[in-house]
Amino acid sequence: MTAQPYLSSSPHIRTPETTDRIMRVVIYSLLPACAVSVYFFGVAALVLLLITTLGCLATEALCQRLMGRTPTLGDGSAALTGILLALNLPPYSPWWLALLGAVIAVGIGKQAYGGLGCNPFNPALVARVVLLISFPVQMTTWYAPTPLGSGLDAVTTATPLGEMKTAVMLTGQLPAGLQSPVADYLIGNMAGSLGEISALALLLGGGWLLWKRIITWHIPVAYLGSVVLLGGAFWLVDPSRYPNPLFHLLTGGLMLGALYMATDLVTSPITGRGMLIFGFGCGLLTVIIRLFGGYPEGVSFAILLMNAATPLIDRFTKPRRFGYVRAGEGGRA
Amino acid sequence: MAEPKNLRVAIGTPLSHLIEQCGGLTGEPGKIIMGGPMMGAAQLSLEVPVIRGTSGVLLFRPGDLALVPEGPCVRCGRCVQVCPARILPTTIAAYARLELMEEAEAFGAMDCIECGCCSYSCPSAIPLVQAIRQAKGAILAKRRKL
Repeated sequence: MTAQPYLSSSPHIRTPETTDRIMRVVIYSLLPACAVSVYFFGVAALVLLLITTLGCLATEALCQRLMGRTPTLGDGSAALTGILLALNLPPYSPWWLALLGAVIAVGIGKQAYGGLGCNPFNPALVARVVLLISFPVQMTTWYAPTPLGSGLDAVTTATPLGEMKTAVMLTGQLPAGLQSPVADYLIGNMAGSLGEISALALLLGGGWLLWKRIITWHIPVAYLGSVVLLGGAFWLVDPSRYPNPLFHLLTGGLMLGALYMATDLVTSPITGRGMLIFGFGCGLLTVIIRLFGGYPEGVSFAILLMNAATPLIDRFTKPRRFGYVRAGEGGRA
Repeated sequence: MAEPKNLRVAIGTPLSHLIEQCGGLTGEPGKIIMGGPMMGAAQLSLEVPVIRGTSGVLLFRPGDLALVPEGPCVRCGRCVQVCPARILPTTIAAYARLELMEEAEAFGAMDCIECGCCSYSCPSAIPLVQAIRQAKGAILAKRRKL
């Protein structure tokens, strides 16, 4: 025998799954939503996607070079952040807004904390909220979708949630007909940020992620379920003032948030029970902000707030170890 | 090896004799494992003997070694999902690697059965079991001293 056999601790085999592959699968699963955004908002959507993706990759490379680390552009996490950021921006956002967002997402949201796996908050949402607070005009100028080939010009309009908030504040009543175009809301024929408009495309991608076991059912089910329950409770109390649960589900950023932003591996709890609590918290905060807050949409704030609670949730949802009776009461079974 | 088979042998028989009985090697072994792929122990040479509890011998070709560079933990929770002892492998391993053995113990390092499921399923290829084993060793050594 010439070469010494390789020595290492068991196990000696491992899954073919890698972090790079997970990121790639998530990126592929966002393609339907990207396609819908390009269909409704044209080449401008594609340009925004490119700006944020390239901006995130460049920021990642620059930060890692400055910190003397090996660049890890190939792991796909920066590209994914870029795509998610674009999907969270209003269509026809100026290029500098998108680029600034990309720098904030990766520079402040991720690399400042130490890079992949160390960031407490979802980088794309950090960027979105920083932009929303710093540039409220640009970040809340919405356009009605103009499907490819329709020949329509881009017209500014309000999102369904924005329309609801204004009407409820002025008259105390929901605008008439707001809740009827369910099919439009499902396909994405409404005003909103690039990626949040089509519930159908997002469900398609999210379903694929569940099928591939990249994400588990806990967070989406807890998040969407609690929004339906809480939103539904208010709707039952006063249907003239509060919208029905289906309207909650299909409009705004809820689908994108529940399927992609809240399920971000790094910033969500690691135990199943923790994920359920996390999802419920997101749902509760979303409904409260939507119905009673100053902003028409609360998904990004809700998720960021729950991101902050994640370490606490992890601490209190340690699984009961095998062979132990009720944690805390002591004694082995 | 040429023909894998089950053999009834005396304790103390060197592994090289077992290989001869199986028709010899077909190439250079990349890894020699006593036991199974998940919990077996890698060996330095084929001259080690069969001992009580040697359940099998496994040879990897050099190409079978899945040497994936380790990445950062992305908190996907897969190790937690698969752990049959229901502990938090990634948390314990992180403490163990920082030599915070008391914290590792508080999170249940001693309840680890070293089955290997967490390391197997880790997409970042973190050697979780190895780190937890080191924690267990350190904790036991400290207990003996007291």
